[in-house]
This record gives sequence, structure tokens and C-alpha cells, in this order.
Amino acid sequence: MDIFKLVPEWAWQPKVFFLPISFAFFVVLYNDRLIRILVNPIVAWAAALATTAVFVLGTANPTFKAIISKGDNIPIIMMVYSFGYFTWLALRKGTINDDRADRGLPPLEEAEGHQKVMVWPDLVYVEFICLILVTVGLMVWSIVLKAPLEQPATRVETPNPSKAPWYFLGLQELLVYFDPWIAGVVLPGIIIVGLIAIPYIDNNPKGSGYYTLRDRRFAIAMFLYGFLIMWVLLIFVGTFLRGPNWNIFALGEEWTVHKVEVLNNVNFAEYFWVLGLNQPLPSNWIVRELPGFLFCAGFFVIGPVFLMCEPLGKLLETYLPLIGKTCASFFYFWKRMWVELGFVRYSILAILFLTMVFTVLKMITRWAFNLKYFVSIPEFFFNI
Amino acid sequence: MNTLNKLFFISSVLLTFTFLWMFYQDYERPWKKYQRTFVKIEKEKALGPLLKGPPEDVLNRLNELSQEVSAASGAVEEQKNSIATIEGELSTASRELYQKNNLDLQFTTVEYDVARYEFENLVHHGHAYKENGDLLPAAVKAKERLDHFAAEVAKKTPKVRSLEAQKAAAEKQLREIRSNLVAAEREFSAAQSDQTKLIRKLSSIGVAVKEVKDVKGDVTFKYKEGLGIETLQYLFQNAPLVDFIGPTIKVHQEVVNKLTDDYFFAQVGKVDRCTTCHLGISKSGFEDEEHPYRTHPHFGDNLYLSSFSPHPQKEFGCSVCHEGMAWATDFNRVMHMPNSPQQKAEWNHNYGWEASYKKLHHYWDFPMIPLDYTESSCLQCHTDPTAIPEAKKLYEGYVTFKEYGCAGCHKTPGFENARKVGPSLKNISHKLNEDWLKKWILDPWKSASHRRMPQAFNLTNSANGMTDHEETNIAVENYTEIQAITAYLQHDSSADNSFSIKPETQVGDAGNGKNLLLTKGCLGCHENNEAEAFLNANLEDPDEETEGEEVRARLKKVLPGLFEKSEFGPSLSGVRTKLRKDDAEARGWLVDWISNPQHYSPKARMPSLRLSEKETLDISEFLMTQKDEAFAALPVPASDGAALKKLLVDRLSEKMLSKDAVEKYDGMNQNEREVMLGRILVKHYGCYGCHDVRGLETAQGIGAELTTWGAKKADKLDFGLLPLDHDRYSWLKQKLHDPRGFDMTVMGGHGNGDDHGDGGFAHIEYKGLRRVNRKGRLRMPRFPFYNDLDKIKSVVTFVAGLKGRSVHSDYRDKLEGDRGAIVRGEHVLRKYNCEGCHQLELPSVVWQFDDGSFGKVHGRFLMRRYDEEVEEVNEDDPAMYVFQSFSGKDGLMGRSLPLISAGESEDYQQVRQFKPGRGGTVIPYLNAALATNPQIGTPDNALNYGPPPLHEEGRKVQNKWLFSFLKKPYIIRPAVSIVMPTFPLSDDEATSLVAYFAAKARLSLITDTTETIVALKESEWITDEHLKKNLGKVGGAKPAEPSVLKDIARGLLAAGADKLSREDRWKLEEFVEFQYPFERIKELDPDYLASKPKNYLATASRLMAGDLTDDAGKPIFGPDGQPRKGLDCIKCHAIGPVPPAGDVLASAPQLVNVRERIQPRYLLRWLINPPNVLPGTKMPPLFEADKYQHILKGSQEQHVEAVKDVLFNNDLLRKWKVPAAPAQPKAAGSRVKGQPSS
Repeated sequence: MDIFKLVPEWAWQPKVFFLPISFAFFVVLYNDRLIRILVNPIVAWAAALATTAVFVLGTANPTFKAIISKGDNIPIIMMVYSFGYFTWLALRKGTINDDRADRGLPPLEEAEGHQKVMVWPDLVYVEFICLILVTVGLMVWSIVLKAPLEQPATRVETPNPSKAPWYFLGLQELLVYFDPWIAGVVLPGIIIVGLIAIPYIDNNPKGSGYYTLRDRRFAIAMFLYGFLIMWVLLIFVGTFLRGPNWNIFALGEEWTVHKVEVLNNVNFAEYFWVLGLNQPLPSNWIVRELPGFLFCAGFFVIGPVFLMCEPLGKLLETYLPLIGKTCASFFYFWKRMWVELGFVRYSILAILFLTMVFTVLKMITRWAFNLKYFVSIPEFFFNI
Repeated sequence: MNTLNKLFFISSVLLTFTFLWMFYQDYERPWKKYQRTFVKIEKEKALGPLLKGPPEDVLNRLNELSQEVSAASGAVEEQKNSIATIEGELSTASRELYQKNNLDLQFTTVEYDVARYEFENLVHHGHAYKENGDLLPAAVKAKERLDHFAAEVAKKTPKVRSLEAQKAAAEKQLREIRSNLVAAEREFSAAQSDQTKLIRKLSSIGVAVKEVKDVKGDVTFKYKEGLGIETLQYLFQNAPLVDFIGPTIKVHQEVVNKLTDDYFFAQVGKVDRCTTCHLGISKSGFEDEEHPYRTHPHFGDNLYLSSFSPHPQKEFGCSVCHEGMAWATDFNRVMHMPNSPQQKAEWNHNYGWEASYKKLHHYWDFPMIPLDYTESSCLQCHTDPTAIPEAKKLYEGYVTFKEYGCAGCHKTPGFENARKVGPSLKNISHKLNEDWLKKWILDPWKSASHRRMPQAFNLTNSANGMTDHEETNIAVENYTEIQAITAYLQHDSSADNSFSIKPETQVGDAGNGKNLLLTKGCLGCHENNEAEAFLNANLEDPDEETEGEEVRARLKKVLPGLFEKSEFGPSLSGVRTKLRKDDAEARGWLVDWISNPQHYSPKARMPSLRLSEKETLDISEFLMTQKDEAFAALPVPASDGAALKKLLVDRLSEKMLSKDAVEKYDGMNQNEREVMLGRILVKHYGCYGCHDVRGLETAQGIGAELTTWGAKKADKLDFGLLPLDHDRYSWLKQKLHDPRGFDMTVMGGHGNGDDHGDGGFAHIEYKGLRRVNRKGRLRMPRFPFYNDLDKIKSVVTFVAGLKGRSVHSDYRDKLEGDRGAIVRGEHVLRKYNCEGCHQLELPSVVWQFDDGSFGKVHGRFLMRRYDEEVEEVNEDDPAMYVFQSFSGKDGLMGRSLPLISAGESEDYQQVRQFKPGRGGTVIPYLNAALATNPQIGTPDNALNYGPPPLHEEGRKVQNKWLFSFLKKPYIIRPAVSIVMPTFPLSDDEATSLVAYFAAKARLSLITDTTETIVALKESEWITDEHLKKNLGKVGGAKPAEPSVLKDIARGLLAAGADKLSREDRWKLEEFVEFQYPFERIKELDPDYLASKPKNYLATASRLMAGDLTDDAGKPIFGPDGQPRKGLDCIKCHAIGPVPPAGDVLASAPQLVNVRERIQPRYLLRWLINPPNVLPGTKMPPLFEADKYQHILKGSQEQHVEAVKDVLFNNDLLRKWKVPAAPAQPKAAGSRVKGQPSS
């Protein structure tokens, strides 16, 4: 049985599933009722079983079998389970603590903090058994999955597809949308700087030493979006969907080098001058790229101001039914941040946030409008 | 706690099992299984008898070795003892010598000197003598003293001298004994190490060997198989867990540093682990085992892997030829490739090969080469396959590739300056008629003249019915294109006003023309239906009722070079049809072509036969009768105006706007349009790759470059939609079978599967064209061998060998010396098809004589079965038709050798090996034609009037002469029918040929000399130790160096020229004296005759006369009263101004030319027994030892020498006198019909 045939091939493309998944992510995370269904152990077990069923039944498909049985991809399968489990665990503990707080109880961690156990046997014995089991696991792994002996590597002829180590596949995916200097240097740099900056930006005293969702919803949402969607999901895409010639293949579709995809990408300048104003591209690159520059500058300069635009929130609250209130709370939140954090910290937070949004925006515009670059100056190898 | 305990228990058990599993995995690695099995096989082989019964073989060998050891050690001891003895003797002798005699002598000498001084002092002062000479009294005493001491010295000196000699002898003896001691010690240690090795090897496979010596020093052995300590050791060494310490079962690895794998910017020496499983590959004795234990093919004949072979295992490894992942030790990962569907099925069953192939190997760069194509690897080092005839498939592929002009379109290394294989088209309008040309381009294979021209139209992608969207009629487009090409070629060739051919109105005699065709050698290169019919008619076996065709088919099997039609030049059947329609113009071209081929086409290989005008006319007239009616009846392809417009406008639109193209088209007349399209098409289809087309002489061919094709990745090849295996062999095989099929979409069909070389071509049902645009379609034409699987595979082998790798210079076949000379000569031989006329090698058999010895005999074929007495004959038997006469052992010399069918006779069983010879295509025709002349009579006699075999050319003629003869041939034998034509040979080509024959001669001399020396090895008269030692080196597995051989031959001649047999001596002398390129003929030295007796030449020359005369010039009469006859050379040979006296048909070479033509050593062999040198010759053995004693005293050999010396003395021959009167009246000579004196 080829279970992948149940999903149409077009649905496997990031341009199709990325936005819905992102949207669903926020809906679930910001909806207390949905999240309580999700952290139910029965749902978790069902999800784990369903995933396993997909893997097991998927082996009927030779391409999928080849992908998952490849030695390099075993960690990724383990990753699917472990990330799912730990995310679920954290969310579950957070919701339990939130419920306890509603009932006026202290968080679980505080309640359990008074219990004591012995180092021997409760810790060391367990560790020792783990050690043995891990040893067994590694040995079985090394016996069953032998190191592949391939033909000599050559610098002139790389494998197709040439993939980075699994943990970098998310970054490699970004290379599709950005120049190497952005995808490979600037964005990872910003991620690291941003992670370093968290303690200095975050002045929320809650959630220290215990799990909580409600008290730190924005922080958790941002982190989990950055990690699960923009890192782990892209690893999944890179592993399972990116085939020869870095084309997207539906799960189960045969990986053939002959697949041809339409890639008619156009720069922002061309949209502006050629399609919009119906005139040739200006020969001066400054003039040519001015619209793109203005857009980017506007995004990062006006963006932080726009985020805390309370009047806009009020307007939405008044005239937009259903989700108006939620949207408005977004503007109120940023306004509150501006008040609480002060200019410098607010700016850093906003820029970090906008960078993430920009990354997603760039991907979406690529999928939706075949937009190649907002700013493209091949004269300087400068492309955004 | 309890739970934890349980958990701990379970995990511990798991860990234990995992450990065991791990060790099992390691212990059961596939290659270990092979090694264990091989140990068993080896043990069985080596110890089979040992294990079953008394341990004969190994024990004997061990005993032998141990005896050798003890003998050697005994020898060492003995030598040591004798050294001690001699040293003792020496010291006694020297004490005596120095202390007594020598000292005494010295003292005495001093006394003598003093006495002499004293006496001479007296003499000086005049105190010694009286006037009468008596001594003065004062001097008497002094004189006495002097005399006394003189006598003393004289007395003592000899004693001292003899003692000195004694001492020197003793010292020499000592030196010798010491060197013997060293040799003995070396022998001792060699034997000992052999013994140790054998014992160690036995113990490595679990057999204990113990050495026990008894009191006398005799050695006995005990062996034990089973649980001896050695077996335990073997088991322990290879036991799981401990087998990392010093296992005997381990990965075997060969590192060849000079042969490298190219890891891109890093050359890494090859690491081959193939011998891990292929354990018997370089050991003899495993030829019949199964893979992987088997010995490598040709290991025994020292071609591969053995240490005497040119490819020893240690220096070559495996993967340099077989490729694959040589460092892997798993069957599938090594990338074995099956050679047939059967093998694939077997591997799938045993190793799951196919699943693994799909997962691992698909599109890998260099999997192992399927056996069918392994020879392609030879090309890496041997860049010229001509140098390695052993690689038959590769060589055939190379020849085919060359013959069909593949390099015309595909740039190929080694073919940079290759000549175009097709005829020049520059002056085509003077030769061909237009209709014929169109039909020929459309479908050359329907013509009788067809040889190599490929089909370019009406192929898979250019025939009606092939496409889904037939809005155009492809056939009409083809016809239009052909019309355009024809128009362009005609236009182009009539553009040159400087070239013209005169029409010929004179008409020759076609009947005589046919006779000339048969007897002038045309059929060495061309075939002709009438000539074939003539030969077949003459091949009828007189006493059998078989048809000529059948006889010929059988003969062809036996003598492939001789009885096949020549396909070198174009066929002469149907010539008339292709020439210009006007008879006079056609005849004019023929006459022009035959009399000077290089006039029409300067690069033509056709030689000038130096025919007379009449002969040329006759042959032309015969050719004028050769019509190809079937081809003439075919309709002429008709072009179409609309198609022309479409085709031309399409082409023009590539460079201009469509409306301009149409405008341009409209502005031209019909011919201009055709010519323009024709020029575009000649370039498009690459016609100039094979033909000279004006303006495109040096244009690059249209095909893909092949320099590195063999290393091309499979994914770089367009397999189209065809169900082929994804490797280069399958692709190319299919490409050569159906070059245009890759353009097609496919309905279905089954591939050649993944059989890798076996099952032929893919059978595909095509649906339609993939490429709409006519210009974009594939262009490679289809060659006549498209259905010949073997030939295609050979071409694939050659092309797949073009890997463009650079090999370390130590491994490159540099083609130096004789090897290179032979290869370069071979190219020239092939270029001018020398073997069309000459037999380059004679057929030969290895014959076992009654005494058990072997002899190689070579001979010339007969036109019919020889032995008519045999009743039951096996007509397919190679031995049936072969020999007229042969050389070999004395007893059989000059006799015909009836070889009869297998099993019927003991004679047949004496044939050990048959080799068919090479070349001589023209000879059967010539013989059949000449046999119709009653004076010649039989075809076998006709051999004497045909081209000479060249199997000994280098030993026969002088280099300088050969060179000038090749450049400007003349008639040597006036009676011969076929004359050596004048070839357009360049100086380099002529030199190459001379060098070729010299190299061949040297090789055959080396073989002869080696055989002679091996036969002489045991001769008792060879006493020289040094010489004996050298003789030992000859005749082993490794051939001796020519320089060593030469030294030995010189030594043998010096040591015992008189003891050698005449043949042996001559062979050795020939070898010693052979030189190239600067030969010295010592007979031509000015002082050569200085040591000869007076009148030597005059006397000798009298031998050659018809009637013998005495010194006074009077005839000598025999006891019967008749005048005694001499050699009577003049009967057949012209000598200087004197013409041959006998029948013209007998007339043999002019003797004046011998001096500059023939090698003197050959002349000796020849004179003494001509049929022995050249089977079937008319020259009889003339020298009878005792017949001429009263003229020249001496042996037969001395007589021959004398005649040779006369022949090398030109002055004498030039002044040769006409004999006064013939002894007997002669029959009036007459010439052969149709044999003008050319």
C-alpha cells in the first residue's frame, strides 16, 4: 500500500503547506482549549502511533524506503520522535502548571521540590542501566547499519543532491531563497546573537524554574516557531522532499535526475519597472534598485513603529469581526513592550522579530510571485 | 529496587548477546569463508596423498630439501676442511720457500753480483787478460768465484721458480675453494629457507612437521594432521576475539604505487584487495577450481600475473585492468559485473546482486568491466593495439574503427593524421554519373560495389512511418537533400578547370583484359564476380564431386588469408554502372586511373602497375563490361520543389529573418538553391569526414570527441527512452546497431536487458520522433556491420578503452626497438595491403617425429588435396590441403607431406599444432589462371610465377637494397607474371618496412639461436666453464637477452666451430653477424679474398658453368664418356650480359644483382638446399659433395662458399662469357600466353 498516494503530490510543496502549518501553529499555541486537547496523552500516543504507521507502511514505497533506511537519515527519524516528545512534554507541564495557578496552587516543580531520593541506587543505578542500554543500542546500530563504502569523492563531481549534514539542512534550505552570505552568514549570526540577547531583553520574571505557557506565551511562540517551523520543518523538507537537482519531490515520488521544474524567478525591480510601469530597467543600478531599497528600509525602519500602532489595533478591533480582537492584541502587546523595554531593547527585539518575519516573507514571495530578490545588484554581488 | 534489578539483569543479558552477535559478525565476514575454503582446497591439493596414505609428495619434497640442506652443509664443511688443508700446505710450502730457497737464492745472487763486479773491475782496468787472451793470475781467482756463483744461481733458480708456481697454484686453489664455499653456503641457506618456508606453510594450515635426524645425519620426518600443536595454533590464531593478534586469515592487500587512481588533483597508488578472496589467482595448479579460487587465465603461458610475464601480479595488481572498487571485500561492493544473463541470475541467487546494483552501483563511474570488454583496458598502456595481437577483440575493434573511418567524424587519439577512408570527391564529376551517385547516397548497400559506405538516409529517424505528425513526407525530403548534395558535389568538382581527363576512343580486348585482371594482381585488393567464378571453377577437386564454392569455403577455414575475397579496394563488379554514361569518357577515366591513380586522387593508395598502354586498355575494356544491372534498374530518387524550399528556407532562417530567407530563396535559380543546400548538408552530415571535399579538407568532424569516451560517466550519455542498461557498453552497442534510435519515443520492447555483453541488441518498437526539427536529429550513419554483434562488441571494446588516462611511464608501451619497428611496419603493410599479394607468414605445423622430438615445419599450400591415396577424408580438416613441401628434419626435407584426417592415420596424430599463415590473397587466382598455360601445367607449379613469400625477407635481402627496391621496384625474375607495383611510398614508410623486416628477422634469429643453444646445452665438447654457465641461462621461462645470446653464440663459435653441425654453425653465424640498420657484408670488403688461394674465384666460377672444364679449358669427361656437367647456372639465370640459355619460363633472377641484394648467410642456406628454404621453388639442390672434387677439392660446404664468393664478385659476373657450345640441344623456349616481357 502506498500511503503517500493519499496525499496529492502538489500538497507536498512548502509553498502549499508552509503557511497553513505556520497559521495552525499560532492558532493552537494561542488557543487554550486546543492546546489542552493536544497535551492529552492519548492524543500524543495517537500521534506517535500514526507517525510510526507512516514510517512502517511507507516502506512499501521504494523511494521512501531508500530514504529512511539510509544510514545518514536514521538520526532524523529519531529527531522526529524526540522533538515531538519533548515539545509535547514541555507544553503539557506548562498547561498543568497554568491550571494549578488557576486553582491557586503553586507550580508542580515547587510542590515536588521538597521530595528527596538517594544517589545510590536511585541515580547511579539508573544511570548505569542507561549506559548499558545505550551501549547495546550503539552496537546494534553499528552492526545493522554498516558504514557505506562509496566511490571516491571528487571535487569536480559532487553527489546529486548534495546535502549538508542533517542538522544544517534547514540552513541549506534557506540557500534556495537567499544569497549565501545572508543564508550562511547573516541569518545564523543573527540567530546566535539573538539567543545571546534574550536574557538582556527578557524582563519577564515569570516562568523562572517551572514550566508555564500562559505567562510566557510570546517567548514560547517565538522560540518554537523559530525552532520547530523554521529549523526542524526545514530539515524535514531538506531530508525527505529535496531530491536530485534540489527539486521538491513529493514523499514517495521517484527521485529522478530528469525532473524539470519551472523556475521563472523575477527581481523586484523588474516587477516595479517592467511589469508595473511598463518601461525598461534603468541602466543605473541605484535608480533600478531604489524601489527595493525603499521597501527594505521601510520594512526595518517603519516596521518597529508599525508594530506598536495602537490606533490600528483599535481600528481592527472595531471593524474586524471574529479575529479582530486577537489581531489588535498583537499591536497592544508591542505597545506594552515599547513602554516596558525602552527604546534600545525594544528596537533590538523588533528588529529580531522583523528579521524572522522578513525571512518568511521572502520565502512566501518566492513561492507566490516568483520573486527572486528584493534588491539585486549583481554588480556588487549584493542580493537581498 | 526490585524493578531496577530486573532491568539490570535484562540489559546485561542484552549486552552479552550483542557482544556475541558482534563477534559472530566479524567472524563470518564473507571473505573469511573463502579463505577457509581455500585453505582446505590447498591442503587437499598439497597434502591430498599425505592425508590419505603415505605422505609421498610433500614428504618427498621435504626429504629432498632436507637432503639438499645436509648436502649443502656437508659441502660447506668439506670446503672448509679442504681450505684448512690447503692453507696448511700453503704455509709449509711458503715457509720452505722463503726461509730456505728464496733466501738462499737471494744471498747467492748477491755473492754472484759481488763476484762479477770484482771480475769486471779487473777487466775494466786491464788486469784481467793477457795479450793472448789467457787470464792473468790476479784474475783467475776472481773468475773462479764468478763461475762458481753463476753455477749456484743457475742451479737454485729453477727450484725457486717451481716453488713459486706451486705457491701461486695453491693460492688460486684456495681462492676457488673459497668462492665455492660462498656458493655452497648460499645454496645451503637457500635450501634451508625453502625448507623453513614449506614447514611454516604446512603448519599454517594445521599440519605439524617435525624434523628428526638419525645418527648418520639422515633425516626422517614425522607429520601430524589434526589436533597437533600447529593445528591448535591455526585455530587459535583465527579464533574469534583473538584473531586481531596474528591471524593467518586476513585481508590480503596489494599496493601498487606507480599505478594510480585519480582522486582529482591527487594520484593515489592502487590498493587492491582482490586476492583476499581470489586466492589462487596467481598460483598455478588451480586452473580447474571454481571462482574465486581459480588461477588467472594465461597464467601458464606467462602472459598474466606470473613473475616471468610482462604483467606480474606485484607490479600490476588487478583493478588497473578490471576496474571496480578493488579495496572492498564484499562481493557486491566490489562491483562485479555479470557477463551474461545466466551469470546475473546466478549472482542474484547467491548474492542478491541486482538489488544491490540498483542501490549502489547504478550510474557509478567505474564498476568492474564485464569480461567481454576487459581487453579495453590494454589500451591504457598499449596505446597502439597493433602491438598486442594477443588482445584479439581489441585489435579487431581497432581495425574496424580504422577501416570504417570512425575518426573522420570523431576526434580520436592516435588518429590525428589518419587518412580519409573514402575516395576524394574533388573531381567526382569526371568519374561518376549523377543518377548512380543519387542512388548510392540513398542506399549504398544495394550496389554491388558496396564496401564500407554507411547509410545516412532512410534510418530510424529519417524514414516514412516513423513520426506521429507526418505533415511532411520524410522520404521526399530525403530525396531532395540527396539531390542537393549531388548537385553541390558536381558543381564543386567541375569548378576546377585545371583538372581534366581525356576521353578514350580506342577500344581494347576485354578477353585479354580478364586474363590480365587474374594475372596482374588486381585481385589482391579488389574482388570481381567473374574472377571469383573462374577460381571456383578451377577449384573443383579432380577426384571428388564437390563444387568449387564448397571447396573454397573449406579452404577458407584452413587458410583464411588465402581463400577469402579481398575487401581492401572497392569491388570491380559493376564498375561500369557507376562511371560516366558516355563510354569514351568512362573509358578515359579508367585508363587515366589505372595508368596513374595519383593523377585523379593524389592521396590514392592504389599503386601503378607499370602496365603498357595496350594492357591498360584491355583491362579498362574488361571493366567496361562489368555492369551492375540490378542497381541500374533502381529508380532515381526524385526531388521536390516544395520540400527544397522548406529545407533551404529553414536553414537560411537560422541566420536571417524568415522573410529575408524567402526573399533570398526566390532570388536564386534552381541549381543555385540546390548547391547552397548541398553545401550546408555536406557539412551537416559530415561527408568530409571520409571524403576529400574542396574547402573542407581540414574541417573538424561532426561527431563527439572520443579521447576520454571510455571514462565518460554513464549519466552523461543520452539513453533516450530506450530500455537499455545504464552503462556505456550497452549504450554504445545499441548506438552502433541503430545509431538513430535514441531520437525515438518508444512503445515498448525489451532491452538487451542488463546482460552486460551477451544477449545482442535491444528490440524496440518505436512510436514516433522526439525531435521535431529535422536539423536537431541525430546524424550518425549506420554502418554495414550494424547487425554483426561480435564486430560491434569489438568496436565497443576499443572505444571503451579510450580513457584518456596517463599511465606511469614505466608502464607505458613505448614501442621501442624491434617491437616498435614491427608495429610501425605493420601499419605500412596494412596501408598498402602488402598481404594482398605476398604471404607474410607461411602456414606451419608443429610435427612430432618418430623419435619423439618436435620440429616446426612450414610450407606452401596446394590447390587440391595432396594425398590421393586416402579414401576416407575429413574435408574440414585443416591439415588436408596444406603443404607442398616443408623444411624440417633432414629425413623429411623437400618431400611432400601428406597430412590426413584425424584418427585415420598415425601420421595425423603427429601434427601437434597448425598455424594458417598470413596473406597471399591473389595467389589462388593467379595460380588457377597460370595453370591454364600448358607449360606451367599445375597450379602448384604456378607458385613459382607469383609473388614471393616474405616470411624470411629480413634474413634474405640486404637492407639498403630493400629500401631502394621499395622506392623503385624492378623486375627480378623475368618470367614472373605479376610484377611488384610502384607504390606511392614515402621515405618514412619505406624505412619502416625495411625496419619491420629487420626486426622480424632478428626475432626469428633469436628463436633459432635459442633453440640451437638449448640443443647444445648438454654437448660434451663444451669445456669452457664460463660458457657452460652462460648456456644454463638459456631456455628458461624467461627468454635470454639478445646480447647474452650473442655472447654465447660467439663463445660457441670460438670454442668449437668445427664441432658444430653445419646448420647450427650457420644459424649462429647468421645471428652473430646480423646487423641493422648499418649492415656490414664482409664479402664486400676489399681484402676479403686476400687469404684465399690463387685462382680461387676462377676455379669456383668454373663450377657454375654448364660443362666442366679442366684448367686448360678442355671439357672433362666422365667414366661413361659423356662430358661432365657443372652447376649450369646459365640454364636458368642471366649472368651479366649473358641471357639464360634455357626455357624463358624458367628464367630466374639476374646473378649480377645478387651481390647487392642477398644476404650471404641466406645465400649459403639457399644454395645448399633451396626447397628447404622456400618450399615449392623450382631451383633444385645442386651441390653434390663428391661430384666436383677434381675442380675444387673440399666439402660440399666449401663448394657452396666458393660459389657464393663468385656471386659476390661483380667484375667476374659482368664479364661472363657465353659458353662456346651447348652440350645438348635445347628445347625452343616460348613465353607464356599473355606474358609480355614486362
